Amino acid sequence: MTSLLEYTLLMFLISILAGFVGSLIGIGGGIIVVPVLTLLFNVPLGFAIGASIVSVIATSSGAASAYVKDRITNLRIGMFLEIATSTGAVVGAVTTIFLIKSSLSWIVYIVFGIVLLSSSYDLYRKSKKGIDFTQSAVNARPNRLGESLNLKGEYYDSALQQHIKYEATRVPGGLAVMFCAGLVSGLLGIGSGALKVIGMDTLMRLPFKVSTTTSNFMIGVTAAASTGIFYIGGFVNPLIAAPVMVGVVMGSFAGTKTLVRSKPSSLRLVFIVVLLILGIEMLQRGAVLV
Amino acid sequence: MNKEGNSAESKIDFNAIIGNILRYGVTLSSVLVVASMAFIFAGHASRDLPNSVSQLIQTNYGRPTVDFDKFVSGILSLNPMYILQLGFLILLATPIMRVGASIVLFAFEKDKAYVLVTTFVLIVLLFSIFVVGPIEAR
Repeated sequence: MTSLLEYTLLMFLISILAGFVGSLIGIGGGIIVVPVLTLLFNVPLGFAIGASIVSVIATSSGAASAYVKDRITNLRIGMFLEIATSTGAVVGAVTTIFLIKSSLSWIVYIVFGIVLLSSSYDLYRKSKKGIDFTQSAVNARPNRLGESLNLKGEYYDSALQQHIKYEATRVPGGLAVMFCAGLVSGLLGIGSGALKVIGMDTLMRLPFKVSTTTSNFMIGVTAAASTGIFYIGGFVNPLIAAPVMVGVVMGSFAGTKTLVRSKPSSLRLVFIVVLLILGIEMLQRGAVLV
Repeated sequence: MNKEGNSAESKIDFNAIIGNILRYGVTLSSVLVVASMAFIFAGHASRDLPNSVSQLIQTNYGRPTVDFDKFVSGILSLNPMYILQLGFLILLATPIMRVGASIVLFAFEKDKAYVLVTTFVLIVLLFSIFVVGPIEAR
């Protein structure tokens, strides 16, 4: 039996670690925090998701405030795509609460397990290939919808030492991916930044840097849409959420400060294994509950 | 990237205002949460705390109140449980404030399309809190 003080201190430390390592390798803390809360502390899934999603708002807003000032984040593209992510998040949160109340939480566990395993694989794939952060996308076929909504921009790339101009393409497809990203975020209480980046980078052909910073900028509003529902619905218990929120924020803040200096490949390997184990555990938990 | 950032006519720094809202919101909320947690464990409130995590969950002790009068009087009496709630509410309000400020800033630039886009997002956020949330609380 864990006392409340023990829980608070232990979860605070774990959250710092999750936020720190997460920001070093580009994965949010939420994906670690929810399994830890449910598997280690036996916190019911709804409360775990509620605690995690609050920390997602905090990390996204904290990081976005820095990026926005760098002028790489495209505020217009971000706000336009938030139409889809916030709507998706509402649907996701309502679905999760429905499933939990109908004793179907095993579905959420299984989906969570699948997302963990695919994140682990994704990280493994990237570590083999290595991503080219300096790539820039120039579009041959700009989109009419994109044009009328001014979904374009330019930024100064310090690595390439040049101004990169870009324009969004395949906007409807991008919106669809963003809706799914919001849905996953609301369903599982995670930021689902990776999915947002795929939508912007691969589908809409935005430069990678613009995609990652704009994704981070959008995560906060996306998370706010589902947090409102979890909070009023009674799934955000402040005493459970407090150590998670403060820990993840502190950890990821420290992580962004160290990002420039080190390239942690062994750390990444540890994370690949951690995600893999948590994924299997979540699938098992889901299977037991079926 | 943003035209308004470069144009000489525009005196408002869009990015700076948005960035500041986000930073101050998160900082204020974190400070309130840390301070109130310290008071909850060290102060008088610790007597009422549940013994274990499982007990906390069974009773949902400390569940945020949706009673506005109760909330305000709790804040005014500096009850740390309510200050803790305030911390989380400020955090939740931060992205909403950011969206609200964007509407005003787009209106300043007479960008009608984006006033509409951003207003839609604000409506979704408010809808989730004031319509969907209360339904789920039942």
